[in-house]
Amino acid sequence: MDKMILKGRGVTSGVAEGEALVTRQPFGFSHGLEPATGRISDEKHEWFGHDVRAKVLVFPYGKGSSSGGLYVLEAAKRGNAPVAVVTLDIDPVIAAGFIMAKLFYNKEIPVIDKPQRNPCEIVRTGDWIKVDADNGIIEIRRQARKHDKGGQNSLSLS
Amino acid sequence: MHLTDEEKQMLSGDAGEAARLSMELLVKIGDVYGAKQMVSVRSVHAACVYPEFSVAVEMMEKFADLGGKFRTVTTANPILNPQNMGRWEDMPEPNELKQATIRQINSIKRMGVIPNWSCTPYFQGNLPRLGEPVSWVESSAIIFANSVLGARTNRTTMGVDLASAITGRVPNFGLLLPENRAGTALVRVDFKLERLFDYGTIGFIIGKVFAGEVPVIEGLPSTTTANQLKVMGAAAAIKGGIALYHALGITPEAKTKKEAFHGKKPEFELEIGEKDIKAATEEISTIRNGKIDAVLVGCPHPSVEEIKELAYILNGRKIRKNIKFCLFAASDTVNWSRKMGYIDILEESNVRIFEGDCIIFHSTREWGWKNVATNSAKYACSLPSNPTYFDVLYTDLKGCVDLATT
Repeated sequence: MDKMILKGRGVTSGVAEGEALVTRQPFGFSHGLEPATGRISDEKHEWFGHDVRAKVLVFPYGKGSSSGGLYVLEAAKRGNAPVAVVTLDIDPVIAAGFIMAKLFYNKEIPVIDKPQRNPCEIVRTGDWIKVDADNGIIEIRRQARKHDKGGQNSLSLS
Repeated sequence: MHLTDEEKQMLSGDAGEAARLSMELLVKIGDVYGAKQMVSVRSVHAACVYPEFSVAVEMMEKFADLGGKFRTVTTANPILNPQNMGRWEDMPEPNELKQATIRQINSIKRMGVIPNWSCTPYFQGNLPRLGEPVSWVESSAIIFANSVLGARTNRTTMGVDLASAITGRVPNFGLLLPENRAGTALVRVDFKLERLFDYGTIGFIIGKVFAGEVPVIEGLPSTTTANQLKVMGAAAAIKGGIALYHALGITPEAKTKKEAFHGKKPEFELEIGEKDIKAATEEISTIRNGKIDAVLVGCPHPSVEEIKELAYILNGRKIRKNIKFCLFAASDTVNWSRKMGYIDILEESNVRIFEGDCIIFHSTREWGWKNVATNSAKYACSLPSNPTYFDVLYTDLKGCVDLATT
């Protein structure tokens, strides 16, 4: 099993880990996440139908309306939010949702942004990823998969 | 972050629990965005929405129960207005939803909101001046405040708005800093804009091409009104997340190109002509024909002039029985229009008037609505997704009336 560390900026606090769900498409919580189920409801997004619970979401940018923070908060309260988030540059309205989840409902969901390299190009869906927002450290472990071959399966900084 | 003695007092809880919770939230947000200090705000536009979300009701109640009182002029966005719920037999609403929205409204009233319930607070007396820092929600109001008024606000979310109103503070970052307000892209409009509708279409194009930029628009006529800019900005904001633009010779931070771009060169340029407007008008619609369940006008909330125009177009024509024609508007605008005789004309035609409200809060899926027509580029961009999932026909006000009347 390969391991790789990326450093970024902790937006919230806490440490959590889980299986990565990765996209290179922008993702909007207000259009995309169904707080009552934790399912992705945006038909136009490649994540459509996925369950975000127990997952670490990795996406480049947020999009959509300023109610996104509310979707995050409702999902967090109901236990239907992802366990952690890694993104390039978090939108203030989404950041507020995760900060309020801790403040109002004591739900700590570590969020890291501004990683030193683009995580959407490094992390793959199915990788195991640990997000330590207290220290701004993202730890990625590639799960060996039968259909992967040799070099293609290794993580490297080159 | 540097805090003043008064801000430290709030954070410590000496000014009450509501102020403590509010200041803690603002400090955390400020820390994420590298704010060096708080700034005072005297104007907030808040959200009192999505009562189907338990957190939206609980958060409002929590701030009110902790003794929160607004220190700022605080208006609020459209609500799921109880007075419109169950008013029409063919538009029933569940009682639990009504109870939830009433709880939410009572809480924000206890804190001292001006109950304008509108996305156009600048028409209802919440009017910050050039350069004034404010804390506003609602993408169409944010872009208006920043661009047309020259006030300064970031995209604020529910919760942060209340915290700002309770403390009279907002962390100083983003669009509150002059250096982040420079234009980055140039848009030349080479088209004679006639209908209000066309301003929405132009806004859509700008939002689509320049998402996340600060566009500078050249070529708008010197007679351009604030209401036209309202419609254009709403579309640019919903389509592209744009929170600030400049219009040369029109908006206050763009007397010259040099001022608009802070002396720099634009990174991108775009020309918009008649062909682009026509193509975009087609592109915005997700359907061309088929049975339309409802016509929706009043997004953003209209001026009296817009209601007058609707009355003139209707002029005695009746809305067909198998289609609903809904107008969303602020109460004060409706009151003035009523005194001018326009509302009588609308009501005679069976237009359903929703005061202080927006379609997105209503149980339209239970009503079986699938296809709607609208003259609003903002509605046309937002209604095809969560929570309404409509297909939309985008056409001007006359087109909307034509397809709803015999």
